[in-house]
Amino acid sequence: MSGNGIRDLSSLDRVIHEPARLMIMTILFAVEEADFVYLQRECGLTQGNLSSHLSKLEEAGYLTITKTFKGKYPLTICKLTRQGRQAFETYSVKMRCVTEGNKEVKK
Amino acid sequence: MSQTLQVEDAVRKAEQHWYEDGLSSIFTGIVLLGIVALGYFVPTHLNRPTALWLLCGGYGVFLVLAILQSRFVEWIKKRVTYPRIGYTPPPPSAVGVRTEDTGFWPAPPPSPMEQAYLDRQGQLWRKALAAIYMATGCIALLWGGYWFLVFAIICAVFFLTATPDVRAAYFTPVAYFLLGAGRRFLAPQVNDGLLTLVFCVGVLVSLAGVYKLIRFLRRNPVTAQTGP
Repeated sequence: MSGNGIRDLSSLDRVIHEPARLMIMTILFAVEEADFVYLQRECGLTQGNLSSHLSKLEEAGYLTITKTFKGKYPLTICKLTRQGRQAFETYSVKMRCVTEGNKEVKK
Repeated sequence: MSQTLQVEDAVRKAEQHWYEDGLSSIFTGIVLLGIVALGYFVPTHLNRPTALWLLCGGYGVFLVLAILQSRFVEWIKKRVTYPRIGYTPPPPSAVGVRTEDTGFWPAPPPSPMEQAYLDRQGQLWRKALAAIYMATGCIALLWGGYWFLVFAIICAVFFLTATPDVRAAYFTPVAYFLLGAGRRFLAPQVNDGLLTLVFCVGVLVSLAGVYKLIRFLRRNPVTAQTGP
């Protein structure tokens, strides 16, 4: 964190900052991995909306999507990458800096 | 901003997700009832030369079942739970469950985030509570008689209130195996109280699990999984 006060907000990761993607990142940061149905249930998003956000996170390199089959059902497992974890932690620290005014918080 | 709290809330929900279907409780109750059935069955064969083999073999089977509980539960979950409410790995409180990672029990230690959640939710206190109630059980075993019924009620209250933390429930069959087998060899004529205790706990835990499973099935229809 550079310690430039309010201007630090401009350096927030916009990919994560979107509420729906922030929900997804928070869940995956906590549970290691989860499938599509679990994410949909926890986030309360529609299938199309969730698919769209997952694709954007995947494009950013923040998560991996593994598609398999479990019997007749397609199983889509989502998991944060190392880059995604670091991005979330950085975002978390920056937000804490802004809201708690702690400019000395280290990444 | 309560970022940490939000993450821990996600961990807590994942833990609830794991115990939501009641399968862990049902399996634990079945193991306990199996021990009781064995306790009634073996005395009828005590005069036969196969009695010792029956005793050791039977208790050994339940010990193995207790240890493999996680694999059975996971197998059923793949067919009943995950198609309904989705999949996420088991929480750290489900001891012995993460056998996929190590291929053996015990489970690996929880991640720092999971450990922070465990500490925050007072899991250490729950560990102490489990130790207290296990010590109470040992005292009850030594005391004998109707005190087992009192202990059964204490156990039932513990199981029902400590949910979803069933760490103690997982170790209960193993503890009862050791205590029951020891009591059987040392004082074979006195075991009615022990069987009554295990029977009561087994029935209560199983019924609680069945109730949770029925509620779970009614609330969650099968969902066809999709993806991006």
